[in-house]
Amino acid sequence: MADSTIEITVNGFGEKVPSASTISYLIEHLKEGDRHLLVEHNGKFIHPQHWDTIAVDTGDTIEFIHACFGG
Amino acid sequence: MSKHDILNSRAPRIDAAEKVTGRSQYLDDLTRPNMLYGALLQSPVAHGKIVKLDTTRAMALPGVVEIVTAKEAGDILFGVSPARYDETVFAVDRVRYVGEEIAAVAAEDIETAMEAVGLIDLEIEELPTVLDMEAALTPGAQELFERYSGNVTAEVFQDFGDVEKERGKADKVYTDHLLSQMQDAAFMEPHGCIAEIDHRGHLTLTTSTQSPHYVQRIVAMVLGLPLSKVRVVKPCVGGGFGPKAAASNLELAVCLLAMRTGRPVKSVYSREQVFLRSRARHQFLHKMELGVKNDGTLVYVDHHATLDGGAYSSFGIATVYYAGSLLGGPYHLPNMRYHGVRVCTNKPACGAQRGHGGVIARALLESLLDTAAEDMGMDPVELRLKNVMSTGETTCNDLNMSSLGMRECLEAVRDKSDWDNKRKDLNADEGEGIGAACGFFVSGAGYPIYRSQTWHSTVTVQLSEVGGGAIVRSAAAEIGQGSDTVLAMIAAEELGILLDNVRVQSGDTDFSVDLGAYSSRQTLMMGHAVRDAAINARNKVAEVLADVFGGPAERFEFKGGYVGVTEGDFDFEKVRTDFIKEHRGFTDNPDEGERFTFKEASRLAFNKTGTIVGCGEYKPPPLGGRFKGAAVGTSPAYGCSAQISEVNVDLETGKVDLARVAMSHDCGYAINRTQVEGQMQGNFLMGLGEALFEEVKFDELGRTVNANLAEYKIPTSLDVPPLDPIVIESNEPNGPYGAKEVGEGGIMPAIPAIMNAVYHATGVRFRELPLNPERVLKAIQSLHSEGGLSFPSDAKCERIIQLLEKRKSDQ
Repeated sequence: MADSTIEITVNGFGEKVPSASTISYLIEHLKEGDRHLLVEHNGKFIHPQHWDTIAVDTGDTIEFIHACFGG
Repeated sequence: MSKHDILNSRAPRIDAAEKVTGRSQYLDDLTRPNMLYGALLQSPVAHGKIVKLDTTRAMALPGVVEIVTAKEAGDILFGVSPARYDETVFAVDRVRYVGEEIAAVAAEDIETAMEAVGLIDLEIEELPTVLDMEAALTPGAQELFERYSGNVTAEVFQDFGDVEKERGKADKVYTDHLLSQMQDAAFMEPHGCIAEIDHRGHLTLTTSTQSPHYVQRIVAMVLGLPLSKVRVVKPCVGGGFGPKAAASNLELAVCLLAMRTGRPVKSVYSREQVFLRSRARHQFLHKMELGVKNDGTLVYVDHHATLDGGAYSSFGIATVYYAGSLLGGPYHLPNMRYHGVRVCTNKPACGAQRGHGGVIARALLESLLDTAAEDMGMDPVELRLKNVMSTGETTCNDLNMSSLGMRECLEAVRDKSDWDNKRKDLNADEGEGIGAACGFFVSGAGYPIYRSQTWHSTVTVQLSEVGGGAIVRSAAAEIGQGSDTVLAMIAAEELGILLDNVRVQSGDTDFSVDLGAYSSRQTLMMGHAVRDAAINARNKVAEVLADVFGGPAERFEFKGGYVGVTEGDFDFEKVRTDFIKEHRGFTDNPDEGERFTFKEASRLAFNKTGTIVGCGEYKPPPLGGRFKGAAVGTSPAYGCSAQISEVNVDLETGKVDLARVAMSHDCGYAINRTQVEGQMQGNFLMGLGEALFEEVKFDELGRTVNANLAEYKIPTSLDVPPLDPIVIESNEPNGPYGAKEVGEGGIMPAIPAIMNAVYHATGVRFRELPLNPERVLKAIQSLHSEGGLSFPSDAKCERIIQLLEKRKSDQ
């Protein structure tokens, strides 16, 4: 992981993360682990098979969603 | 014999007498001094740009006090999940469904308010509409929102086990699809609310809601009020079933009117407006592939779903999630893959309705199980029994069956219904059939709707300062399901007093935090909290008794309104004398020789220490899982059900009548046996309606054409067959006293048991719901036609499935 940090939006709030952070890294770093987690990157659903390969860039938005909130 | 004095009994509901004698106060029974009446202007078109909105003529009408639009309300986005806030109080510049709120009027009387609505000058430039899933998903379709590319508001992909790798182990593969219709929850009491604000800016919203807590948060957020100055109170509520579990535009509009006028404002929906509001069950199209070994062992399910969610997100992201995840149980299913997509269309928004997301998926899976059983020459009940999970096992998607009475449920209905004989003896030539199905549901959600570490339920139990009774205070929402009675029974049990001496004050955000009546959570979560609160209060009394009579506090035993000791003795003569002297003139003082009463003990404790309040709280514990950093997961516990339905199908008219239903539900432990059976019966009846009658119909302009209970047909007492509810108690370790849900899970087997029975009677495996007479008759005719069984929606469903599969392959 590179030494520099970038600013992204996570769950609606600004967050500084290492540049080129992957989705998997963010899940671990931000303690979002849950087998039922949904991830959206810039409004698009990201298939779990891509979590290790997709990296975020400055200004990106990430939404971690625990969809098991009932109803 | 029950190990408890009050729990597990058939105690009458504490609110029953008021309800049946008409003394209960529902929202529309309430008035306030100086109250205004609110009415809404709602969009007459399904999709369009607002080009003119002029309230001048309306404001000039005598009796009109205030009119608000998006100009006054602002454009703060709200919804259910913060990740999907996509609604505003009023349409800002665009309307997306017939019925969308555009303005609200407050006037001295309702007639003036409604006349004023008609005087608001509104012009809408109509836009092309998207009215079904196919239209929404077709490339190049009109998009309802810039943020929802391709009209997809939520997409879920779940992959557990390895379907591709294990597919080859299946000897047989069965595939089918099922298309349902949009539903209405048809609660008897329409939405309604009264908002009032005092001179210090404290707003009180009295509203027919399932969740005062979530409404409080949204009102504060959207209207820019401090949370501490917003109070939400729930009066008696005549049903919710899901659509009342989130804040509504009506509530926000009425609050805004109250804030701007300084007067109380009341507004109540008509039945038509209830339909336009919806937030009820989505339309679902499921396609499933079930792989099975020759011996009946299930190998995999490959599942695709498209949901028509109407114009806004509401609970939709959870709906599309649960549509897949709830198939993880109650059978051993080592491999499960699911792709679900929820689209938006120009129709009233859909949300969470009883059984949330899992109902139609369950119907298709149970139908496929029957198909497999028939093809393999196995009895359908035996196939299910071969595959059911047991307590202690974990599903492939990490749902932990801390208790699961699925085998017991299925065996119970098999025996009760005389399945083995009926299966052979019923005469299909005369339209007689019998069918079985199972179901599975969460008992409370693992997470709150907003990201938070909040307690899910908090409760206080205050002992009456005059001695002898207790008041339970909670924000929990009694909406007809009996939660107040459960609160009272648990408090009485732990305090060791009579149920009659417990009062419950609930549904008020001033009392506590409780996330609300949804997701079948209140018995489990609120039950834990009230038990802890009652024990806390009891222990405070015991400590005083230990101090006065000698310890330890643990030796004091509270039971049946009396206090005794487990060891030794204690001389309470002086305490009694003081009590009687304090109550000179009272006629209900303890008799000479009577045991030491709770009344005396709690009065003594108050005199020594002051007010005694016990506090209790609950949030789901981290459940752990195989995933790194495992968090809470879907639910602390899971309920399960089985039903066997007997039908008579009139082969000449297509009408399906239920002859008899055997039903079972594992509720862990029945806090109140009558209430559990009532929920089981209510669940079944709701499923019956969806199986045979209910569908919301739209015309080509997106208008609801059957927005009334005469044309949207729900079951009546004439449709109810003899019901045989059997309660199974598997003793859930995560539940209070072993209890878990019964509010929703029982709907899961209802539709497929009927579908399977109708198949037994007619040979028709239905791919469309509901099974109304016209649909059934046409299907029977097509079965015997040259082309074989077909349904009008087959081609459309195939096109939608292809659009979904293309979307998946493009990922």
